[in-house]
Amino acid sequence: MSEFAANCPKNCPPPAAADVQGDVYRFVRNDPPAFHDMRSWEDEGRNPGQGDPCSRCGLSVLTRPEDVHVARKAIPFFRRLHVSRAVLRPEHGQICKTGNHRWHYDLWVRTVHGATIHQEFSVVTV
Amino acid sequence: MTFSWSPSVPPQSGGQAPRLRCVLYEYDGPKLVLAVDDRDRQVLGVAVDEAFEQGITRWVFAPAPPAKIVGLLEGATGLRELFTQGEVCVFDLTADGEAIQSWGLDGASLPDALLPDADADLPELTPAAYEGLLAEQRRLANEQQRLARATLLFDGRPVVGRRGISASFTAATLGKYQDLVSMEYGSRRKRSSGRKGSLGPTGPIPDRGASTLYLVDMPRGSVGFALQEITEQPLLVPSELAEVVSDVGTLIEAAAAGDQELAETVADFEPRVVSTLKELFSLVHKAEATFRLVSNDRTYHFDAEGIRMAVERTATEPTEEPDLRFPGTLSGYLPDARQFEFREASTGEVIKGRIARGANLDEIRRWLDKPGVARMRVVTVTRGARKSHAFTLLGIEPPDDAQS
Repeated sequence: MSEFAANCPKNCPPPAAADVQGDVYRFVRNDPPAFHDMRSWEDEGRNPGQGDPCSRCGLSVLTRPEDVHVARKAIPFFRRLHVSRAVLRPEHGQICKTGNHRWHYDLWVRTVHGATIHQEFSVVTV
Repeated sequence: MTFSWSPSVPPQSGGQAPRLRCVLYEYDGPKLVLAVDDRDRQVLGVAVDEAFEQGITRWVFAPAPPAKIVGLLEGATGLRELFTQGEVCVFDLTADGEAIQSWGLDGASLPDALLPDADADLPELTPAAYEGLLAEQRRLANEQQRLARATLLFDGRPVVGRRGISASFTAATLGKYQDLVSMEYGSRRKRSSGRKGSLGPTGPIPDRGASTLYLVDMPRGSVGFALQEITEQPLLVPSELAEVVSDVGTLIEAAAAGDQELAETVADFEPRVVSTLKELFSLVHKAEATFRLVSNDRTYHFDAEGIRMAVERTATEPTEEPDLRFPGTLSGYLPDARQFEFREASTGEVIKGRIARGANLDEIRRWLDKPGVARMRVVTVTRGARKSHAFTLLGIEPPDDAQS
């Protein structure tokens, strides 16, 4: 069994990624967060072929509550979603800044935690 | 989860979704993007809602000219402002990015829930993304500013609310405006190529093809038409056609502003241009229309009274005395503004006007406070019994008694 999701390309996570440690925030549809809230862009089959293949199989997360505010103020899409928070440890996966937004991170969850990572998250008010 | 709001007007089925150019905010896929719509306009798109079970995301796209994006990046323009000032398109897109349905709406009609907050900033970009995008958008904005642009916005009898405008009025008016631009452009090209003589009262216009303006947009808010020059070559300075569009805007404004303003402005234009100006105003007046003209970056308003007066002023073709002699004394001049004052010997009256573009300023300066004979071109605009004169100083010569 590969360390990360089977739909991740080779060399993914990238060399710049580091083991995750500490608070991460993720927008979710369910309270409490459900397995389906932890599906990547690639898992959902959205916009096939678009975007970086490694980012496509990561989960988007933010690491600071102020970035949650910025996202909700600027992008109405996020206002209908809950905000969830988890305190993750290195065993859960790797994390790296990606994309054009300065404070956006991708989280690649290790396969052993893939089915249960949602249980680490709780809906919070930020 | 279903959509929290839907437009009250019926959707168009499908439509072509804007093509992605640049992702500004990505979170499990793009959520704020720059894209290009089916009219080749740059648009800013934001994800606003979703029907998750159906796999559909709702987006709002608003026209985002490069100058606006520069303002957004520099913090001078708010994110919400881009979506509320003018036309927007709402698209329902599948997971594959295909459009299921779309709506063309006035941005001001969107509910708050579908708009960025009033104080929302553009989420911070990485330094590399910010610098790259700012440089690109500045370059595009500068290129657009150098192109000839004109927007004509109509109101009055030919216009039915925001729903439409008489096709025959539109064709005739836009045609006359294009004629004005083409004639002035052709006249300039003829002069710059050293060909003598003026445009004939009829007949072909030189280099007409090069002065073509293209209909590139139909701004909402009132019924209007955005015209623009299209060129494949990047421009380092404003195009010649852009200068012509500005000058034609000044001429149209002068006709509505006053007798003296028209006399002073019309001196720089050929008679055939002025005769077409008259046709343009007659057309608008007969149709009981009013209009606004945005020439490059200047806006001119023409209400019913201004149009009626312009028709009167242009009804009689201005006359021109190409070279009249006035004995007297140059009492003042402004070289940068190319303005002069000359006290006429016989009457003591002060003639004010402009110094001709080709006149020798050093030569003219020598005559300050000395008696001489001014050579002037005099244009007269007649409205009823009123006559307004505009004087253009061509040069100053020694008095007749000094020559003998």
